[in-house]
Amino acid sequence: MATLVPNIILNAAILGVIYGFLGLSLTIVYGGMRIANLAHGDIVVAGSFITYALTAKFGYSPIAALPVAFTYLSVLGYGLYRIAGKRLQNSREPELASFLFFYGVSLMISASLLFVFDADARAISFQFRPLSFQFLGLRVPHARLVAAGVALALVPVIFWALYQTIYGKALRGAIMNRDALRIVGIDIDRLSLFAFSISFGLAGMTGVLIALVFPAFSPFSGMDYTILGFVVIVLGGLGSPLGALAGGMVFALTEQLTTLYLGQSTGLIAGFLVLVAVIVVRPAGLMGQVEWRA
Amino acid sequence: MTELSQATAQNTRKDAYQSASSRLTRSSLLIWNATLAVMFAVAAAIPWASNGLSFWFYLLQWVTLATAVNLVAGLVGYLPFGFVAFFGIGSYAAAVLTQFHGVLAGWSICGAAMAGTVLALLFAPTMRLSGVFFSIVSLSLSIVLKSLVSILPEHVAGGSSGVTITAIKDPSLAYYLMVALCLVSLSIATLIAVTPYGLRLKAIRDDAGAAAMIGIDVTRLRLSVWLLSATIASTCGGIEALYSSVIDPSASFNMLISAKAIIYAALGGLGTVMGPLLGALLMSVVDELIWARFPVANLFILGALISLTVLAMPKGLIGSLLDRHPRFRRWLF
Amino acid sequence: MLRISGVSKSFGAIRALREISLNIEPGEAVGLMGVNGAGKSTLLNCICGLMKPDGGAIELDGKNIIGMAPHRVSMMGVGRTFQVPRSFRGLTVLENLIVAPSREADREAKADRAHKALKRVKLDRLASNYAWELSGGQQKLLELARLIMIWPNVVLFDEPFAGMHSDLCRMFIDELKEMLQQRVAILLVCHDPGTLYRLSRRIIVMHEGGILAEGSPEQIKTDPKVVDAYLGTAH
Ligand SMILES: Nc1ncnc2c1ncn2[C@@H]1O[C@H](COP(=O)(O)OP(=O)(O)OP(=O)(O)O)[C@@H](O)[C@H]1O
Ligand SMILES: [Mg+2]
Repeated sequence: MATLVPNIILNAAILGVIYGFLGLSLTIVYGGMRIANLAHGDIVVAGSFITYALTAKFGYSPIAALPVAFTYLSVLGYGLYRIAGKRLQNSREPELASFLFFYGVSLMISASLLFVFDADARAISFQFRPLSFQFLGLRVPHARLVAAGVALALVPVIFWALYQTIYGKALRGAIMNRDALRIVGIDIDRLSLFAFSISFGLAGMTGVLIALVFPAFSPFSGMDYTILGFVVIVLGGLGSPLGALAGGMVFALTEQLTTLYLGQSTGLIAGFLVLVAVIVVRPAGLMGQVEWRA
Repeated sequence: MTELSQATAQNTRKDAYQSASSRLTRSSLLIWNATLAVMFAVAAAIPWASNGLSFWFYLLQWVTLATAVNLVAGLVGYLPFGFVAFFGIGSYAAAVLTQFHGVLAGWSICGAAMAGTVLALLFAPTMRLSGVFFSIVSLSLSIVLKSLVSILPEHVAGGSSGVTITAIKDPSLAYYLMVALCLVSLSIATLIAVTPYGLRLKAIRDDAGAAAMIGIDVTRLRLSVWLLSATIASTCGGIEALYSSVIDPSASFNMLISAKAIIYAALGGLGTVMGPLLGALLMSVVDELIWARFPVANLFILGALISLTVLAMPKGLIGSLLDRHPRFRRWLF
Repeated sequence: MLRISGVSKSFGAIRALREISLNIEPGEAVGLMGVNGAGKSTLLNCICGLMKPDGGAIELDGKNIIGMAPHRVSMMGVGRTFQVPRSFRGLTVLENLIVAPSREADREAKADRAHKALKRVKLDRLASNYAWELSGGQQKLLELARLIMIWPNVVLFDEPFAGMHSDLCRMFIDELKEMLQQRVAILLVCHDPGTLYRLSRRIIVMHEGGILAEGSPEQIKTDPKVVDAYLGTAH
C-alpha cells in the first residue's frame, strides 16, 4: 500500500495529462465555434487504429503514427468543415444542429473503422525497451511515460499558438465574441477552418497516445472518449484551455484514487459525481468565466 | 367603404381568436385528432393482423420517447443526454416489483411511473444549468445511476447481470399498455400545444428572463413539464421491461436510448407535436429497411442520412416547413 | 409608490451600484442618465428581480420586493423593456402578447386586446409572423405592445429610443405620455438629454454606480459636475 498510493497518483497524473489533452482539442472547436463535435471520440479512436495499422502491419514505432494521424485526420476535419461548418454555425441553433450532424459523422466513422478493422478490440503490440522504468520506488510503464511526454511537449506549443499568435488570440476572442472579430476584420471563416482542422489533427494524436496508455480499443469506444472529453472541458470550464488540463487532472485523480480505495466499479461514479458537485457549486466550471448576464 | 372596413375588422377578430388557440384552425385540429384516432385504431388491431409484434411495439416506444423528450428539449430548451435515466429507473422499478415482490403488472407500471417522478424531483436542481452544462451533467447522472444499479446486491436489483421476469409473461398486455401510453403522451403534447400552458413554455425556452418579466412563473412551469416528461419516460421503461422480460443495467441505461429519442424528435422537428411522431415513425422504418437491405453498410448509411438531413433541414421536417412556407402554419404544429 | 433606498450591487471587483436611493410616484417619469457602464441597467435589473442587490431596500407600495422572484414582481405591477429587445423568437407576434398570464378567462377578449395593442404600435400587419422575422426596431415596438397589453403600474424603460426612427420615437413618446396620464410611474433610461428634458421633470445622473446629481432639467443642465462628467463642453 505504501508504494501503491504514490504509484497510483503518478499514473493518474499521466492519465490526467492525456485526458486534458483530449479536452484541449475539443475545447478549441467548441469554445470558439459553438460546434459540439460529438464525433470527437471517434476521431480519437481512428487515431488509435492508425497507430495499430502502422505498428502491427508495418512495424513502425507508435511515435511515427503521430504525424500520420495528425495529417490524415486534419484533412478529414478540413473536408468536414468545408461541407458543413458554415451551415452549422449559421443555423439558428448551432449547438443542436452540430450535435446531430456530428452524431451522424460519428456513426459513419465507427462504421468505417468496423469495416476495415472488424469489431474486435485491438491493442498495439509494439513494445518499448525497457518495458518500464523504476525510480524512487515508483514503477512507470515506458509507453505511458512516452505518451505523457508527448502530450506535455505539445501542450506548450498549443498554448503558445493560442496565447501568443494573432490567430490564437483571435480564436480565443471568438470564444467571447464572434461579431466583434468580424468587425475588426479577421477572416473568421478561414480561422475557423484552420482551427477545425487542427482540432481534428490533435484528436488523432490523442488517439495515438491513448493507444499507448490503454490496453485496448474498438470501433465502438468512440462515444466513451467523446463523453470523457466533454466531461473534462465542462469540469474545467468551457473555452478555457488551462481549464481543460485542470479538468483532466481532477477527473483522472478522482477516478483512480476511488478505484484504489473502493473498487473498480466506483471509479467512474466518483469521477462523475465530482463533476456534478463542481458544476453545482461553480456553474461555470473550475476555470471558466462566470456568466453574470441575467 | 365602411362596410369593407367593418368586414376586415371582423376578419381580424376571427384571426385573433384563431391565433389565440395557437394559430390553428378548428379544422386542422379536427384532422389531427382524426388522424390520431385512425392510427391508434390500426395500432390496436395489429396483434390480430400481424405476428411481428416486436416491430410495432418498438415503433410505439420510440414515438412515446421522442414525444416525451420533446417536451423538455423542444418546449423548455434543454437537451437531456441522460434522459435514459428515467427510462432505466422505470424498467428497474417494474421488473423488481413484479419479479422480487410479486406485484401485479398494472401496479408495477404505476411504481415505474412514480420512480420516474421521484428521480426527476431529485434531478430537478440540474435545471439551474444551461446549454452543454445541463446536457453533460444529465449524462453523467445517468451513467452514475447505471453504475449504482449494477453494484446493488443481486437480491435487490439483480446486480450486473440484471433481472429476468418470469412472474408475468404477457407481451400482448405490454403491447396494449404501450399503445395506451403512446396515445396519452401524444394527447398531452397536443393539449399543451393548444393551451396557453404550451405558449408559456415556449416563451420560457426562447427567453426565460423576459418570460419572468411578464409574470410567467419560470421555475414552476419548467419543473412541471420536466416531471411530466420524466414520468412518461419511466412508464415507458416499465412497460418495455414487461414486454422484453429481460433487463440489465447496460441495456436499460443505454445512452443510445437518449440519443435516438432526441434525434428522432429533432429530425421531425423539436418544439412541434407532429415532428417527434413523424421523426420516430420515419426513422424506425428507415432503420429497419437499412438493416435489412445493407447488412454491412447499415451504420454508415444511417449516419450519412442523419447528417445530410440536418444540413438540409436544421429544424427538422416540420420545423423547416413551418419556417419556409408560412401557409403551413395553420395546419402543422 | 416605488421606493429605493441604499441599494448596492457588485460584480466581483466592479461596484456597479453604490447606495442608490430614489423614489418614483404615480404619474411621474424619472429620467436616468449616465455614461456607458454607469449602472443604469443594473439598477433596472435589481428593481425587477432579475438580479439581487447586495444590500439596501426596494419597496413597492410599502412592500419589500428584494429577493422576490421576478414573476412575482411582475405580478405586483412592474413591467420593463430591455436595452437589447428580448422577444420570444419562436412565437408569433400576436402570441408574444397573449402569452402573458392575465385574469381574464375569455380568450377572445384577450386576443382582441392584443390586437388593439399591436395596432397602436403599427405591428398588426405582422401579427401572425414569427418574432424572429422582425427587425430590431420592430422588436422594440413589440416590447412596447407587450407593456400596453399588461399595463403595469410601474414601467422601467431601458433606452427605448436607441436605434429607432424618429416617427416611431414620436409614437413611443405618445404612448409614454398616455401612460403618465393614467398615473403609471415611469423610470426612463435614455442617453439623449434633450428627450429626457422634455419627458421628465426629475432627472438623475448616475456615475460609476453612484448618483452624481439629481434635479429638474434646468438644474441638471447647469450642474458643473454633470457638465464635466457627462454632457461635455458641447452642451
Ligand atoms: N451581469 C454582469 N456581470 C458582470 N458585470 C456586470 C454585469 N452587468 C453589469 N456589469 C458591470 O456593471 C457595470 C454597470 O453596468 P450596466 O449595464 O448597469 O451599465 P449601464 O449604465 O446600463 O451602461 P450602458 O449605457 O452601456 O447600457 C459595468 O461596469 C458592467 O461591466
Ligand atoms: Mg444599460
